[in-house]
Amino acid sequence: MKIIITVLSLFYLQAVLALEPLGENEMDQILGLGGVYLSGDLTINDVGGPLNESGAEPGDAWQQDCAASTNERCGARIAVRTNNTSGWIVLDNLRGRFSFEGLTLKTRLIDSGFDNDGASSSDGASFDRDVFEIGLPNTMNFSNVSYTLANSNKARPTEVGFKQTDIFNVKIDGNVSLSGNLLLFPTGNP
Amino acid sequence: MINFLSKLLLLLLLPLPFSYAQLVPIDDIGMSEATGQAFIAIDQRTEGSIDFTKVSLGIDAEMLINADLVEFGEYARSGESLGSDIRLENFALGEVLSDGTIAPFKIKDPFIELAFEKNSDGSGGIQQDLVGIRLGFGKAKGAFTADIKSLSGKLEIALEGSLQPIKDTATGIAWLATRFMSGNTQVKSTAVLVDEVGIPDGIRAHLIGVPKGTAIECAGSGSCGLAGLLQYFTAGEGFSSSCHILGIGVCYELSTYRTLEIGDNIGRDSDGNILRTANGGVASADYSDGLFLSFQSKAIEWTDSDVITHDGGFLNIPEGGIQVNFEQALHGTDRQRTRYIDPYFN
Amino acid sequence: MNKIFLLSFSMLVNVVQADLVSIDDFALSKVDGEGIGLVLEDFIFNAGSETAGGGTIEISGLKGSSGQDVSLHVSQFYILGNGSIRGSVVDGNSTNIGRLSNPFNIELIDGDDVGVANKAVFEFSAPKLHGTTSVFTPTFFNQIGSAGDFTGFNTALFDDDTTTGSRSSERPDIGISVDLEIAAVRTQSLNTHYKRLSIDGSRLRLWGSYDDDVAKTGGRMEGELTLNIYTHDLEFFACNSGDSFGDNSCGTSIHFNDFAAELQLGWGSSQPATFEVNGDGNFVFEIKSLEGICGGANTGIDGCTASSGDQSTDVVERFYSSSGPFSNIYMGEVKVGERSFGNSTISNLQIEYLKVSSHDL
Repeated sequence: MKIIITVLSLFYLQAVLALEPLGENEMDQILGLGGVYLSGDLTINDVGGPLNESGAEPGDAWQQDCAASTNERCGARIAVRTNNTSGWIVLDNLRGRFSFEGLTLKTRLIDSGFDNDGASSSDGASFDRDVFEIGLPNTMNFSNVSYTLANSNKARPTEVGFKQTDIFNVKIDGNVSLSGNLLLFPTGNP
Repeated sequence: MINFLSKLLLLLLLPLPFSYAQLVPIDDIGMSEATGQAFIAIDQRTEGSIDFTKVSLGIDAEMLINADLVEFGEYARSGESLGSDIRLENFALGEVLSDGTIAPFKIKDPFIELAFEKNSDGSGGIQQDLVGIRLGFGKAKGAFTADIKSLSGKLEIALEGSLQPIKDTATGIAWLATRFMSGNTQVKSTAVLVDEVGIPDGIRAHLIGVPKGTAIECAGSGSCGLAGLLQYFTAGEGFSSSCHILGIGVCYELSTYRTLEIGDNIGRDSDGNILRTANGGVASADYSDGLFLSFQSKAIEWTDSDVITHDGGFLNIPEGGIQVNFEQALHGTDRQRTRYIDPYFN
Repeated sequence: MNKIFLLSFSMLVNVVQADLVSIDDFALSKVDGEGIGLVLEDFIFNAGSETAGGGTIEISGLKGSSGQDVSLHVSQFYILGNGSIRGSVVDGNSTNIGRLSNPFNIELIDGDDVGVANKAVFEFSAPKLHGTTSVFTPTFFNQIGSAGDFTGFNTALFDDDTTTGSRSSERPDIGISVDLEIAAVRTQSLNTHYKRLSIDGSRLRLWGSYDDDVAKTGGRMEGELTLNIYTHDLEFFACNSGDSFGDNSCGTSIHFNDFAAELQLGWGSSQPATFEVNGDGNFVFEIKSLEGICGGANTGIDGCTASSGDQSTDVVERFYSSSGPFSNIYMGEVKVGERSFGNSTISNLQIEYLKVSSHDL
């Protein structure tokens, strides 16, 4: 009993302790190590999806073989609109597999370089601040990624009077080279 | 008991996320409403040694725009005194009517077209040399306003109306010849881009006029009395000096036509003036075909057009698109209001 | 037991302390925080069937006017450092895009400063134009004057290393080469290449608006787009299908040398630009008309008020002043093959109304 009360009291006390911000001097003393290395693999509706029901019974799922089929119900659909009384801009039949390896995240101090290949003064020297660096993965792999850009007058195909006009289809299959770093840092006067 | 209550408390404290979005299968009826044909069409066509690739957009556009200067092809061109192929100052498409409403310039189905000439590549193969680019509008109508300083291309103005303005300005032989013609007689002719001596010249023109060898004719179906004699006096030939028919000047500065109404079958009164609504808009008009702007390095007959363009910049204003009566031919047309604060109006 | 309950209920009370309240538009309009700067360093993008290891990028679903199937197959789509020779120099030819001292920027700005009163405005902007601010230097603006006074475009904007905007190492080459396939026959390869492209001074601003601010009905997104494109050379040419620059079948080009476009679409909440899809499923892009902008029965002709020179209160006067929106297009030289057609200019273009809607062909 006493143990329970003591333990519960500790929880209570912790909730009352206020968080105090670290001062700038204290923050300066903190040094990070390394960064983060990410690999990713995203598959969308590659082998079907929750709407892929053609049977009479609920749960008669995966009746279409979406690996082979180009049936429109195999893909995902995203619809957006900019006016709450207007039609929709649609990404339809969204499906496929997208993967990458070697996306890095780290912080970095820049105090040199960025001198227009030696032709101008160094932006880095006058910048002299930390940035958040996202290292791009050099290669991204698209495996039968496809989507259709369309307009529709209703949000969902199941609505009465639905009409959609497909504008074009895009299909990407293979590698794309994407290398370099994306640097992020605050701007403006805080 | 404690365990049970603790668990109960935990359960009450924890949020319970349930998904309330119910997925609904798409049935076949819903899917069949998707239509395929969208607003972009790409075509290829070959005529002679030239291939055309055309991207057409199914677009309706209406606009009121103003620009200080629209100039294409500013370079020295041998045999020409003007500096640019096309120079339009104080340019506007569309107009502002007297009650503050806008009568926009309307365009349907614009397109971009590239012309390629198949030539030998020097090693037995064929290469595709790009010889022209064209920006066109399937259909257009509305007020086209500018001080036209130089124009290259094709512009035809249909002249039609009563003879009276010609009688009023005739001098010399023409004065005598027209005394006994009825001023109400409806006569007509055609004016095209000409040089200073009335020869048709679609390159850097600043004059539009009845070309050499063309006359003024009866417009009606019946006889037009003595005025019917005018058809025998062609511009720049016989008794007529260049740019004249019997002393009547028939070549006019383009810059005097400040607003041209583009459109087919524009409603007009018996005097050829455009019928306008209470607030000054054009009462009725159909779309004209064939407005386009092109650059080409040689003469090209573009697809769906019987116009053969010369090299350089070329602005084609549709045939049948513009008509004035002789009063307007001689004195120009007024500039319409094209801005809400318009220093050029009136 | 009671103590346990008491303690446990005390925890409950402590857990729920923060009550979130939504920030209304007025409060949000006072937000003026930091933005996020973005710079791409040593960037290379290269994709398409003709690139090393590249796969297919296909755009299909298009039609010809007789209904035949048309598709585009991308041979190469690249963003590389300048000097890429139309995308052929890839390895080691990276580019920076944006500068540490002048980056791309995402920010929430105070709408009061940019003509959108009492709202927070989302802004995504490219590096700013500093120093050489350009553009056309008209000596008259909406006054009667001789166009002989027109002094032309400030070409220093192409001579980047002297400005505080993007320098040559921050001006990429961008291009795309597509095979055109009509009715299953590959007819030609169409090439478009930009050399040393800069979009300095461009920005996109977005905000929300209602038809009725009180009832909060008719909500929609409005925006304003300033798009500047400066490129040393914009080139189009064609080759046989599958070939690229340097192959025999590639013919002569059309060049737009020293091409600059400075477009202003939309002008704050006085003349917002909107993009939406209508009830027929066709898109509509509109720049709102000036018609009725003064309100009530005021036609706006000669300004909202009779007196001139009060641009601070008269929105029509302000539209036609140097604070109003205007666009310019300049081409230093248009070359078709070997033939030069000199320079071309559209200057001080103002849009009082524009509506573009699509329809099925």
